[in-house]
Amino acid sequence: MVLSILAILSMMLVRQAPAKGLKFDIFANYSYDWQSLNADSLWNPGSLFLNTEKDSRLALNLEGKWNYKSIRALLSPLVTMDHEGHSEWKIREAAVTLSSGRFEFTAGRAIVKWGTGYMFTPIGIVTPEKQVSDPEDMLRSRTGGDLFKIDYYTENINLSAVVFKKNNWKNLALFAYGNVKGFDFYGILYYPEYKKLEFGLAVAATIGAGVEVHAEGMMHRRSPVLRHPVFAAENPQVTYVDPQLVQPEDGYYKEFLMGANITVKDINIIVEYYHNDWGLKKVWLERLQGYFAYNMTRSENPLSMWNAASSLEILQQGRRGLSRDYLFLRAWKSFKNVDLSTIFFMNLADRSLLSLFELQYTLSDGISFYVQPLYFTGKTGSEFGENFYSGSMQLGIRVAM
Amino acid sequence: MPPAARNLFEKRFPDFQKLLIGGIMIMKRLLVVIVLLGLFPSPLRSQNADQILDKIDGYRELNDDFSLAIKISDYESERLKEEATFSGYFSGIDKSLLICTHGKNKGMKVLMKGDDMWVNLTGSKRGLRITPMQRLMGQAANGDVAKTSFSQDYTGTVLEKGKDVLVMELKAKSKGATYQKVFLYADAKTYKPQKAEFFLTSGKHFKTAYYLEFKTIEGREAVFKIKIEDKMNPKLYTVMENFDYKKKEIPEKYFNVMFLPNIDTEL
Repeated sequence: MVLSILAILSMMLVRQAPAKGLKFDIFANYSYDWQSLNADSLWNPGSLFLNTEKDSRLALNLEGKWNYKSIRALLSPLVTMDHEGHSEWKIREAAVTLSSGRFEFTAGRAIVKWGTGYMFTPIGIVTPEKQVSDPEDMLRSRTGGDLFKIDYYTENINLSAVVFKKNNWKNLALFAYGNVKGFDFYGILYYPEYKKLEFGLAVAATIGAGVEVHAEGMMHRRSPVLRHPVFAAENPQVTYVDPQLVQPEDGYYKEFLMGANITVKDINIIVEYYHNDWGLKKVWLERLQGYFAYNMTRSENPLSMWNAASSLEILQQGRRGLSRDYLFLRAWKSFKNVDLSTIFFMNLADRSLLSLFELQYTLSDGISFYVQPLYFTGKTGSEFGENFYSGSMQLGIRVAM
Repeated sequence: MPPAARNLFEKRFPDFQKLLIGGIMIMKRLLVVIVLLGLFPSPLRSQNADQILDKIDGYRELNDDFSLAIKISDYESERLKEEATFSGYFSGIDKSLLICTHGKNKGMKVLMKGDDMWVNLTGSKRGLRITPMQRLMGQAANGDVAKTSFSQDYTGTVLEKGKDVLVMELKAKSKGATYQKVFLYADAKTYKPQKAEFFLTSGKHFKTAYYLEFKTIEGREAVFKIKIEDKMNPKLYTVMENFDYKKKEIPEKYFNVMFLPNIDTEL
């Protein structure tokens, strides 16, 4: 079925007489996923849920680009379909850029990436959130932000001013990049909708022949995530009828990353340390888990309690892990048509681990197959040890035309 | 010389002996100077080496802004393994932008400025700084071999100048250079490069480049075909061919890593 769809699409593209400067790229990713549930997880009490889940997903991203004199336009819709035939579509990018000498004006939805980090980018406040398993968004699943942006470029300098939408349009960022004597410097000033100035810096450079180093940090004035009231309560048996997540007190919340990219005997290794101030301290995670565990046993309907427990994701709000300190390591080696890579993501407080391996075989230009097993390991009560899934296996095919 | 003849000679040419001794002494001094020159290269000698390097680079570099198509073919045991084509955009002697237009990494962009290098992977929305060693992986490695500016990046010494072949030893000026030493072979008369042997910091002979074909561009000859042998794995070699040369003004922002994701496959 997948090949039929691709064949039809490619025929459509070939037959179409393209307008001047009009180009299409199509990216397709089909994956089949086995997910093994964690029978010992807090979130799966008494193995309430089946031990394995299977899922398949087809994602089609059509990227249309049009260039005419000083105008660039980009439209990038994404359609996804699951194994039950449910489809969903969204616009990844839809933007128009007008160039005038060294200036560029962009309006619309666009993916803007600032920062030096591979795992996370603290200064990437306009950037969509990364996934640890796909930091560079090779699966093209992430969506851009709605924005108006002005850029100024010389050979070694980029200055940007951008107004963008989060909860509303009252977000302004000023960005500067400079390449000076072999160093890349980045700086950002961010005035968000809650009207407290934030700032950040980043730097990258190479040392000798085999090492690249990078670091970035951002000083936030408000915690990006809300807190559960149980953090303030010593006794996990305290229950709340309708627990409202609360905004912590405004203050300085730092977020930073330091890393290196090393090449040793044809193996490329990226290692990064990441810290954020709003992550859960160990005692808070213990209280939270105690709270949910206690209420699960008391609830007449564990499933509804599980739904409440899944508000853990609300706590996380998609922000870079539950805890404060993480270590990331990626190793990659290429052999002829085969690429091998492995990712380890460790919670430094409880030593629990997310491990991902990928074997990719490139059949021909733009067509590759991949196998991607992923595991969560850790002791009871740890972030990844209590993960709802213990692991997954994904098989897929990627096509880029 | 018989004593009688010598006496007669000295009577007739009384100053000859002095001249002879004087001449021998001058010759000895000249020999010392020549030997000393060999041990301690004089500035004059280095300047000649620099001039020679400039001439050799003249076959490998074209001034002004221009674009080229570059075909890179990887061979293993004489069989074609992989092929890729890049659109290359060059400004001056140390700025280049390569965009993969055909091959496994189609859409990938590689920006090089001096010793700095960044890659924008296909589908990614930013450029990533990579290490000089990463230049040694994949096709970027051979691009680095091809782009090396001998006169700018190295100090040269002429080791041997025969009737047909000139041999130079080049040492990197920067400790960060990928290849710390190069042995360069060129035509002794025309200074056309013939072969270059590249050595890593460890002393390992890493690659050898053979300059196979030359074409005339705007009145001067330039190398258009290079064969690069992998000395770590003798079965592997790469052939790089340039074609479709065009003089082309390239806006400076195209050599800014922040602008890389905005660049389409062709300028």
